[in-house]
Amino acid sequence: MKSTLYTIAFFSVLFLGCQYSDDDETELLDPDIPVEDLINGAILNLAYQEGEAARLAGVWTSQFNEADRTIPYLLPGFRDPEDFNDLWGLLYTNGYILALRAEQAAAEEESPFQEAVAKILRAHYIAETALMFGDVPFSQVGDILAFPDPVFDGQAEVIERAIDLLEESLAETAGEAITDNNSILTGTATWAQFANALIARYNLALQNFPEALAAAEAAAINSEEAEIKIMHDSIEGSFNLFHAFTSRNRFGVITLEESFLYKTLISDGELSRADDKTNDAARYAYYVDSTSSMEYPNTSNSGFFAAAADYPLVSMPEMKLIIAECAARAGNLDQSVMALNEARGYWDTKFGTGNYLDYVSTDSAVQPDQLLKTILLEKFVSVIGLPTLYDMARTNNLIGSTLNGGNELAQRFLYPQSEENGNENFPGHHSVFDVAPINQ
Amino acid sequence: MKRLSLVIAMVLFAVGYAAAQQAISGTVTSEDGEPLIGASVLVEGATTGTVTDFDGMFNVTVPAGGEKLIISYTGFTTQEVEIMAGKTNYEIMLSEGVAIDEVVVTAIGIERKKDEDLSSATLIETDLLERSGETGVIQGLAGKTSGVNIVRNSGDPGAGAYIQIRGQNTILGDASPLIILDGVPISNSSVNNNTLAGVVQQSRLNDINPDDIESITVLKGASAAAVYGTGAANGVLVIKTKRGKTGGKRFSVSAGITYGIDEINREYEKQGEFGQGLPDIYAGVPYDQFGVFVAGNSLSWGDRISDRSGTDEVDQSGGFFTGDQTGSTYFPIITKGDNNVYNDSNRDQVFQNGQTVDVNFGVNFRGENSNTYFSFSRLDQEGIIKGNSDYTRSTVRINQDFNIIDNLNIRINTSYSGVESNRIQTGSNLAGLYLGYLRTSPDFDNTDYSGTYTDANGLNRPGHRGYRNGLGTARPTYNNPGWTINVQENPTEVDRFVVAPEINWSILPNLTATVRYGLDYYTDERRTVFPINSGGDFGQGQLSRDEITEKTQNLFLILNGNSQISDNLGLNYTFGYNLYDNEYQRLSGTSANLLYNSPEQEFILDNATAPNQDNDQFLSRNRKNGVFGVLNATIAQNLLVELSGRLERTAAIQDELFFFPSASVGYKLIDDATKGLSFAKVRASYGEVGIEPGLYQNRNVFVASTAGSEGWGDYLDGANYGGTFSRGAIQGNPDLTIETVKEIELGADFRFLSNRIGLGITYYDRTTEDGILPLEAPPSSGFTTVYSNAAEISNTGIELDAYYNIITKNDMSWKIFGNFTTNENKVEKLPGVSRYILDGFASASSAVIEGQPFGALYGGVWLRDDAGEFVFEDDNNGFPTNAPEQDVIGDPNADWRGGLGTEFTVKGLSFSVLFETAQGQDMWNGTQGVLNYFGIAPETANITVASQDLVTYFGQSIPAGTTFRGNEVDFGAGPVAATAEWYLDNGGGFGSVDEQFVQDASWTRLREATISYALPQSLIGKTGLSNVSIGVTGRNLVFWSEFEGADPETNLTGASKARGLHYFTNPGTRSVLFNLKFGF
Repeated sequence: MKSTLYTIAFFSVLFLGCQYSDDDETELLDPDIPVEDLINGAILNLAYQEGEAARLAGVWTSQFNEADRTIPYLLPGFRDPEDFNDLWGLLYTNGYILALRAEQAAAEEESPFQEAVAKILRAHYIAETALMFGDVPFSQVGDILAFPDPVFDGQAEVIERAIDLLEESLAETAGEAITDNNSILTGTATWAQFANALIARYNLALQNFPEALAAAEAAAINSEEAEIKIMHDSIEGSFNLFHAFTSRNRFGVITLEESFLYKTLISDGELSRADDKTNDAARYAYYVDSTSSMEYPNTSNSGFFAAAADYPLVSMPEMKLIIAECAARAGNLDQSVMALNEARGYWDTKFGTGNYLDYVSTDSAVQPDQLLKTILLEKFVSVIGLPTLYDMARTNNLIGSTLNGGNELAQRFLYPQSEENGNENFPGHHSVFDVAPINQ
Repeated sequence: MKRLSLVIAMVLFAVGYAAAQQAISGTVTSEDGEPLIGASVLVEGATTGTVTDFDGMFNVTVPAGGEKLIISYTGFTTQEVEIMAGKTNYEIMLSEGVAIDEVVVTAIGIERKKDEDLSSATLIETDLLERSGETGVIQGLAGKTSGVNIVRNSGDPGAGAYIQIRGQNTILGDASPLIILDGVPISNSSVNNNTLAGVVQQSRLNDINPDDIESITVLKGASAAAVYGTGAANGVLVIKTKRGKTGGKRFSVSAGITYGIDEINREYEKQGEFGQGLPDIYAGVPYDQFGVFVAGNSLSWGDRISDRSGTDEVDQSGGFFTGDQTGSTYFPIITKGDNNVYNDSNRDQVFQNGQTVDVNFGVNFRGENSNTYFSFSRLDQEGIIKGNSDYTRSTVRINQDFNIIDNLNIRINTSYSGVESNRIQTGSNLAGLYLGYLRTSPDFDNTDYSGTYTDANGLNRPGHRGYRNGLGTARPTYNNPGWTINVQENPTEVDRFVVAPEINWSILPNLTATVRYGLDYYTDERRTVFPINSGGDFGQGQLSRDEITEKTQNLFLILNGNSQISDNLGLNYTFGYNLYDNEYQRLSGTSANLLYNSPEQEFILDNATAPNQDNDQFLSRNRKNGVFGVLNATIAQNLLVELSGRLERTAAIQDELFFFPSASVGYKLIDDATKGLSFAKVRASYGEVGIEPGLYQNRNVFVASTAGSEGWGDYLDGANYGGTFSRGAIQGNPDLTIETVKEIELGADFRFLSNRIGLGITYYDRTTEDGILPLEAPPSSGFTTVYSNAAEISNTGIELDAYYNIITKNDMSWKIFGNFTTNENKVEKLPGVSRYILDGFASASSAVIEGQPFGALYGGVWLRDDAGEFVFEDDNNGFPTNAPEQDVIGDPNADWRGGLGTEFTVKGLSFSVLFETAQGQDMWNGTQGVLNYFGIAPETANITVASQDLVTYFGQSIPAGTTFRGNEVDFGAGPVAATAEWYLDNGGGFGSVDEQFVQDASWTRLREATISYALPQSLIGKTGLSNVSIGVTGRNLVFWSEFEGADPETNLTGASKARGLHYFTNPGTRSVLFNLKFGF
């Protein structure tokens, strides 16, 4: 028996003597990430603008249509709260909170430029989230220990606060190109131009038209070269996301057939906008695959949806048309028409065509009762994706888009199921057709 | 080495306590005087013992206090012989009778008489396993004991199986039982076997040659497994392989060859009435014209095939496709006239009768001081799917025992398994087999799947032709099944070594020290070739290669002894130390967008530009060590007590110690073979085991990031953009602790009528506390998930095993046996989480939901009122509508399971059958739902004459007397016309109501039926052979189930915790096997 006791003692020594070290990690620990990599993570994540969110916006506004409805999932009526879990997660976990952490880290490292860039990104994420969903968590976001259940803040308040953040960042970023320290963005703009462009977009959404106009002018996105785009290439993991989706992974799901965009751009038909000053042939060819009978998106090298086509986060037409709309609303018709003409001329420059003749004050399309519609329709055919959804919701489909999947205008995305499941302060679900607070 | 020396020193010290001992010898014979070779001779209450030699003789050393010899031999009644003082030679005669010397093997590999075991363990012997003719060890257990649920993943060759002992215990932890092979834990990983798409992978248990197995003991309860601590929460399979015989002939050979034929056992029916295209309202034709042919359309809601002219009108002015398989040319169809139905030829393109050839060869050699078992086996299986579906396994095993000196034995078990296999893409997978095959329209001929497309300018390019693209101009949206099975390749190659040396040192007659080391090492290399033009995401081609290696090492130091403290108190004790070390790594390389479309499909990872080449790795290492002890006491002969415990430390949670206790008590009420009630024992036990958290779950991580939604394939890789990081969405929880499974087990074992009838019954109640749960954090907090010890899961059940030896004569025996299992599983607590999806789709999934059984099916339901009746909304035209919220739609767990079998032997002829049943479980037939959508299901091809004016789902009128495609259905608001409008919406699988496709998946099957004949000695005597037998086994020959279209004994998500899902899963099989066995 004694031998047994000795053995037990010996085994215990063996047992207690074996410690495990931490050298098995392949993952990285929290503090070791350089601020630059965090910022780049948040910049790369801006690609959500051209992913699922843009596809939904495009189908809901009828820029596209859903062709192969094997699993209809893009139309508003087929969306469930679960379907927004991923997008919401991208916006918060990989977007806002990453930018917030980068901002905090940059502040600790006393790097004001990086802090300001992170602030622009943070403002972008939260404002766009509010525009897509309505009231969203903001003031209590990012500190899970203090606020495990962040409250939802008012939509307008969140966007206003985002505008404040953008304005705070202007001074530090005026001379800094968006291409500095990252290989994600392309364009000649500075971070301050980017910030101003966003201030313009968000003030427009809040219907602060004078402020929107001023910011759009300050953004000075006056050429395609100045546009802020995400770079793409014909390699795996770098494809234009529309291309990756529609050409490579879900071929045939998205089409322009029977979409309002298609009906607007074709040269004849009831809804065609072709007139003696407007010829959309080149633009149509840019968007639509002319070789297909199904009007699939043009994913060839010359198309908007090409594999290597850089995707605009902010485009010149968007900025010019903000100016045009705000000026029109202020009664400055000349300024408005001039901006409208600049936006149309952009395409002639791009295609080397003379398809868009300048409007003059006597043209019926720019008469006071038509001007806003003309501007918004020009924006509809120029700006693909989310900004168009915001415009349609704000103007209650002023352009009269023939909507897909019913006549009701889808206003905003659904809160995700994941937020309801995890957040005690969840305010309850709305329908995609419920008008958002800023548009009520 | 230092540690080993210390142990030896310790044990040497113990020798000082050696007691007096005496040597006795004798012979063991049968009643007719024949020596019994290899009979077991044990000293009661001691660990010493021997077996008789070639002449039936034995020598054994009896420790002081030894009072009885126990002599046993298979087929003979065990006999106890009192040791008389001074008598050193014993003549012992055994009488033939019912063997009651059942043993079980404990968790640490020690054999134990079942009568003295206090657990519900059952042992399944080799003949029962071999009889099934299964190629995998797990599958051979099905139906043979209570408490064990075995589900094949599919009928693919070498496909793994899911094994579950009692109910599911854990949400995130490992759900498979611990596998102990000859005393050493080995890996039973099923890497990537739970994906919705991909290939059905093998289970690593399939690597073992079933012919090498002597027995498998199933330890079901926590108390029996507590010595393994965190390894054993799902029960333990203790596998013992064959060893060189210690008695009988010096040299013997046994060999066998089996030829098997497999065929698909249930298929989905496809309609043959209507062709490809759009239905009535969508095509703009009246209901009585049914539909219109549309080339390339996904649906089979087109025109009636028999109405066609007979010949296609085609456009020969432009491009065309030339098929490789028949040389036929295909032109764009102007008017569809072909009125052939190709369902049969399309089926025959894919399915065949599978074939298996299994050869095994075993050698026993008994040397002076050594015993050797050597075996070789080779299995070649060609699956029921034509093309690249096969499985080849070669195994070699050498089990060697050396008796170095009288009390020192060295044992080395070594085995090698080499497996080569080709797999087939399956599941929710545009490049998968069943999806493309079943969706193919009845009027489309799949025969030509590859070929050349010649465009209008005469330029040629290789093409892939399928029903979604009959000209092969680009990849069809869904693969032609011919492409899936013949052009795509998914080879795997496994090399596995298990080496387990062991030293046993009988320090004293009643004290043995064991040092055992086990190394289990395998590499699993998997390649996937999607040639250019494959469906789904692989139009530009993709190659990928995974190299998985896993190394599991174990060291055991065990001291096992016994001591007779007094007449009424005998002790048997085991103490040990265990070090466990598992290293796993997976290295993956992928090339996408291939540069060169090689016709030979060589696997060249460089066949893509550098940015299109990607690599990935995963490494993990887990170590645990523990000390354990088992103390068995026999008090006053009949009262049995067992205490055991393990103190463990694990790398998953550092700096914490965990203790797993167990206690059992049993009482033998009677043990007298002469009585009507021959044996009765009651037992009760309590045990705790654990499940450790996954590695690294207690910390936050940052990861190299991607952006976009990878689920749809549209994402940006941060590595292409200068490197980016994001924080993992899961918040590591530093307070995480292990999950604890606590179990109470009550049972009784009886034998009646001189041991002819046996009955074992066990009740258990087990609860998992501190179940680790990924709590949903609001994403706005920065994390989507926080791990927490919050869940509680309970399993209660009854297990019953019984047999009746109706006839036990020398030349005739008849036995019936059965088992019954019922398990009630409930997720008791799931705080803060509405549900956790184990796997499945956004529509239907298998989930963990509070108050529901584990793995409950969850999905869309009909809108109903409080009374459960459909709510008919005004704009739904008499059709029901879906509820806004999903709900529980089924329970994939069986209410009860059972097996019932019989064996009958007369002279050399043996006959056995085994029925198995599983009742009361549900399965989501997602395949059926989708076939409704596509207009493939026969139900959708009914031609109905409206009995009255009817309204369709879209509110269209169908006047009385009108013929339409679809069904007249009364959902409760009067008859309506369920036309394509309905099936393309909520009446089909892509609608929002999954409830309607949940079917009763209860089944009963003739699991095995065997007839074999052992040739009499008079025939083979002169051939030099010692035995020859021939046999036929039918496996799964018949099954009865209401589940439509498939054998419900398959699972979309393989051997994962998500159960009860069917979605284009490869089908199951039935088999007939012919075998020849012989020995000399």
